[in-house]
Amino acid sequence: MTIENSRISAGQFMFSIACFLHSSSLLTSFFVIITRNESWMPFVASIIICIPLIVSYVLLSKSYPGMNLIQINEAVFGRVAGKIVSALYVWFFFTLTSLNIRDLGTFVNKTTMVKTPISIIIILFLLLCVWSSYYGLEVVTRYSIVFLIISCVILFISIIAVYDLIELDNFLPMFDMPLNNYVQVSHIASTIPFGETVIFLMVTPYVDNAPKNLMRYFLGGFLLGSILILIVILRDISVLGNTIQYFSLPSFEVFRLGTLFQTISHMEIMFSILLIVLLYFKISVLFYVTMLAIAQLLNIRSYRPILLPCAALVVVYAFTAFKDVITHTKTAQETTPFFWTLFEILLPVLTLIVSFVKKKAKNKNNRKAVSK
Amino acid sequence: MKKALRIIAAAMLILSSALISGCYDIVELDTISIVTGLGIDKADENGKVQLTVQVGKADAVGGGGQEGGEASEKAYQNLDSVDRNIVGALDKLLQDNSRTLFLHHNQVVIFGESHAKEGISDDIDALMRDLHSHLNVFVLISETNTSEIFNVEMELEKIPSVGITRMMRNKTEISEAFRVKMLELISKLSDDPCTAVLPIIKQVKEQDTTRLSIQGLAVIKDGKMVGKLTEDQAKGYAWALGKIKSGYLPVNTDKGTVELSIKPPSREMKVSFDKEGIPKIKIGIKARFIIGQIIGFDGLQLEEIIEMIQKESVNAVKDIIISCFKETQRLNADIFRFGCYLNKHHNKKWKKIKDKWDQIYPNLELELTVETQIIDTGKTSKSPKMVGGRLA
Repeated sequence: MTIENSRISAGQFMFSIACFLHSSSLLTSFFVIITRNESWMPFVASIIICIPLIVSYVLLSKSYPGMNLIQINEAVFGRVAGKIVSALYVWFFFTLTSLNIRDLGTFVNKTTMVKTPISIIIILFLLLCVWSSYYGLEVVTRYSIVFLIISCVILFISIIAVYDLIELDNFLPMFDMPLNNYVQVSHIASTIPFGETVIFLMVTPYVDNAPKNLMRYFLGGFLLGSILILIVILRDISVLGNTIQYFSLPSFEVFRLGTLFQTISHMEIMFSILLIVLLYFKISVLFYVTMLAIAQLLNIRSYRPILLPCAALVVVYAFTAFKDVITHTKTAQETTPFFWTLFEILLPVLTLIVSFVKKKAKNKNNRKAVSK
Repeated sequence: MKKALRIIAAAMLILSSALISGCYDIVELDTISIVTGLGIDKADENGKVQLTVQVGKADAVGGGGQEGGEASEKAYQNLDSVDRNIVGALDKLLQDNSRTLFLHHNQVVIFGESHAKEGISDDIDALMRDLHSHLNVFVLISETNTSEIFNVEMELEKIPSVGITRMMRNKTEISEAFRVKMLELISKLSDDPCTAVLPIIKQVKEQDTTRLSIQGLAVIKDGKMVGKLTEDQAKGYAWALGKIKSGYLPVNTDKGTVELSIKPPSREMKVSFDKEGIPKIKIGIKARFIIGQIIGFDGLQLEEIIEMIQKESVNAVKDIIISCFKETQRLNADIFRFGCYLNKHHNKKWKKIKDKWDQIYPNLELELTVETQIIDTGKTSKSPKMVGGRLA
């Protein structure tokens, strides 16, 4: 029984990952507060750290071809334990969706539509995500490349617009902070944007020629996305310098400062376009994956009937997840990375190890059986 | 049937997006007043702040259609309010106004001198935090009350604060050192040592008119204004940073005077440390000039003149830089940001002397090497007075 019938091409898969990651470039304020103008260093470190992580995701998916994460859990840990692990994952996906939609609401509220009630923004937005999820994976990921191109063009224009303000001196001094800060930021960066790619383990079985090309495309998408975020961070630091620590949305301020030929200024509307386009993509992927995971966990034939009830839950959860922006940033810095480590690093690696051991044992048994 | 339903649904969606969008955050032009300048002064009442807001009148600026009758109407309006701080003052203005203040297009923030002497950091916090405020605005210090500055009418500009912005643009064409925008100010004030400069705007009274002039720089240290640099010293500051872009440098010799047109110089900086870790700053400036005017020099050949002024121009440049440097040493304000440079490029050594910087700076040694080069003589190689290569 398969819940999802549509398939996506490997290229689409790659651009989806890149686009998914790139949308996190809006959330850099979580860690630029800690390491200020040196944030790019721990960020690069976390890219390097995460490469083996991505490889282990791919290995996991390869050793169980045609299975998504929930199915793999069941195959590895058995029926009961597998269900428990899967339930935890469902909670994780669900929380991610809610947090991201809340972020979207806050940002839109903060940057463009100040007086509009946040619930209206969130509900309308989620309805759109429900709509695209209704038509399945192919529709959800179809526009990834378009969104990526739009955001790259905007990134490029913004760099030209702030070119006058770029000061390379802003990157100095280097290694000026206690080691702890770098470690903390590397941890945040590897769990909040990068590790979230674990959700793509839910869709790997639906990629064309999945097992063969997966490594190349997963890593490709990961590198493309992370390099784009790196460019954003470098741009923000080189423009804002030591003032980057003050702003809750550094990129927004950078767009505000941008001017083209003295006539075109106040470019923050471009930031809003970027924000809405990228977060739409991220949230619809997250929402889709959550629905898929729930349906798989509960053994329902189709996730379509639960779309709207779950969307309502997401909205409620988004409002209750944290009480204000200050708490949110605080949790994102101090608590969330440790929670997410469980789902993004520990559990997948554990699953990989268990499956490896199981296979070894099976091979031994087989050999014994043959020799007998 | 199904198709008809779809078409109706699509039509409704399109209609609704046109009709019901932007209900909440709607901003109509006739409900806002566009703020073009903010002035912050010390109020007469103790501990209070006077906020002057200049508001542009859109219809008076754009109203070219009806001439005559409206000519006397001002294109701007100044609103005053006194309150505990600028947020309070803005709030007060909002309550007593028929329109909402729209800070989005603010062009300039001016601090009154007496207020700046007591500290501007707290005001900057408010200006930074406000959603609509822009970090791209010019920041200035005014010698008089800012409401007077905002009331000085300009011949060619309808709104004074817009005129001030244009003046600032021209000024920065000459010397980049005057280009201090909000972002840069915040950045400098959050650095260590915490020093910055802000251009000074003043009223110049002439017979029956007053006009505005931007001259000299105010020195800000730890968020407070501690002193002033004259226009010449401000030029020295720009020279020392290599930020001068154009303008003229008069060079006097015994034989006559030459006005040299300044081309952007190149500048490099090096630091050496003595045994105790006390730094010595070396600045090398390569200046390039074009001859703008030759006065005097009777009976000398062009080559000779160039040789003479090359030597003299080195001294001229050195003099104005040293004069500025001495003044900042007297004020003990490291506006050249040597401390910042040390922090960035010699981080470990800086940390050792960081706390003593206030004692080190007044006695800091500065080694200045200036090289000058006259690259062109302008459009003419000889002046009309020259006969056969000699000035008659």
